[in-house]
Amino acid sequence: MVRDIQDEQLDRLTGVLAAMSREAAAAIRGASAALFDADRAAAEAVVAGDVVLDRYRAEAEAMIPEVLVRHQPVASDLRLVVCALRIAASLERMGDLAVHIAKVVLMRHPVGVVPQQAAAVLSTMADAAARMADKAAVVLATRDQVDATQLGLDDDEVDAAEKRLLSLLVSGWPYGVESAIDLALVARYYERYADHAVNVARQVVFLVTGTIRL
Amino acid sequence: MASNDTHTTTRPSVAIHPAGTTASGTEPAGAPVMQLRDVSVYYGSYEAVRGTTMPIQQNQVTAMIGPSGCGKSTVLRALNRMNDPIPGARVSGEVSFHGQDLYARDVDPIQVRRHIGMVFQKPNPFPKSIFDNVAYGLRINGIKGRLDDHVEEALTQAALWDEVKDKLRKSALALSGGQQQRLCIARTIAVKPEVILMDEPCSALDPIATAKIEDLMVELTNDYTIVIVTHNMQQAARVSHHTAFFTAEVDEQQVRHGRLVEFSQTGKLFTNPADKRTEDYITGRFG
Repeated sequence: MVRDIQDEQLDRLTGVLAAMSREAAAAIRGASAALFDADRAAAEAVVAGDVVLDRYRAEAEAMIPEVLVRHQPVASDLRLVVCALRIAASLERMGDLAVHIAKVVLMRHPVGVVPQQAAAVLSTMADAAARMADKAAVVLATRDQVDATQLGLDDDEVDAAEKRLLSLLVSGWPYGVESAIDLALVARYYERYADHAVNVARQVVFLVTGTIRL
Repeated sequence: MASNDTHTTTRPSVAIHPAGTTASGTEPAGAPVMQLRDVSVYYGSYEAVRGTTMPIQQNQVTAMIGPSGCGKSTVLRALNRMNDPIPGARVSGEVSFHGQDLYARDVDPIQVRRHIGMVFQKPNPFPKSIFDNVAYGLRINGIKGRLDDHVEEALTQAALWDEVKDKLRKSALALSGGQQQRLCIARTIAVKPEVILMDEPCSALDPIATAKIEDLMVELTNDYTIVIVTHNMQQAARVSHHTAFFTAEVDEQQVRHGRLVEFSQTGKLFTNPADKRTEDYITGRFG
């Protein structure tokens, strides 16, 4: 009976994290669409939508001390609670990074941020980041370790793409310093976003196995 | 601790085994002071606990947890031959103390209990004065030196001295439950055992008295090795270094036996147990 109440609260917590992972994935898709199409409305929607992730995070953070106090969870229940704190922080941060990208778009609008030379490499990053967010959401639901490990490979792709973009920017970039700074920042936002997605997956591995992979 | 010198000099050498050699002090630090090897306990033909193998580490608290009927108290009592008086009770396998088999034929169970003392669930002071409760074991063991000093030392170690020093001649039965339990601990440690077995020592106490006993357990590990049976998992998590989880299992003949499922460092057992049965029990997913 009381155990059911605890299960219910842990399920609610898991539900919040699942909703956050979907929001974080939608945010990066929205930000990428705004970036490549110089779409002001899309960028504004990403900025406005971030409050949803902030609210979810606050909800998770309010639930966790209550679960600890009421149920003194141990073993996998305890690991879930500890992971939930970290996962909620990562997902919320992923939303913020999508907002940062959207704000670069808004700052330059109606001029586009992405010249032709950078389009391919940036869209590699955008696709990989979106894919990783989706996978993180799946891993959260399935707790599949193989999928979780897969996220590391996608992250390598993002890191390599960031390097390629930076080398473009430092070797005779024809669009000026301002454009180079914008693109370097956008690339860094994608890269950080991908790192947080990896962190979510790592937390899931910890949740399942009880060990932290470095 | 000021009493350390007295402690070592008055604690008798390990001589429960007349022909045995004294192994005390020769083990490396953290070595087990006791070791159970494939220990089964029978009541008549009924095998109450089956095949328990685990160490009891020196100067640590080892907790034994598990549902009722899992055999944890039976195993605890096997550690100082408290099951002996039960007709038909029998132990197979080996319970060793400093490498000596406690169930060897020439071992005196009274001497075993002298080295391995026990504190029970319900405080059970003798209907005597506070002083006489503590002095009792000292007198029958013919311990030399000033009785007053030994009594004071034991009561101090049991964190009771300040509360009773002005009423040592009053009846022990007038003390509160928590004080009575600490008196029983004082009575046990007065004869300077090496190991103290505690069978749910706090289950009859309020949270304040429980906290005092828990503080005491931690304090006592400076000088003693403690084994505690508890139904309170948070208590096991708070005070113990190692935890043994027992459960009751039904065999092919539909007979229930207690079994040790998992023995681990306490932090590990409560954050990442190796066995699903442990996980289910400690997270409250019974049955």
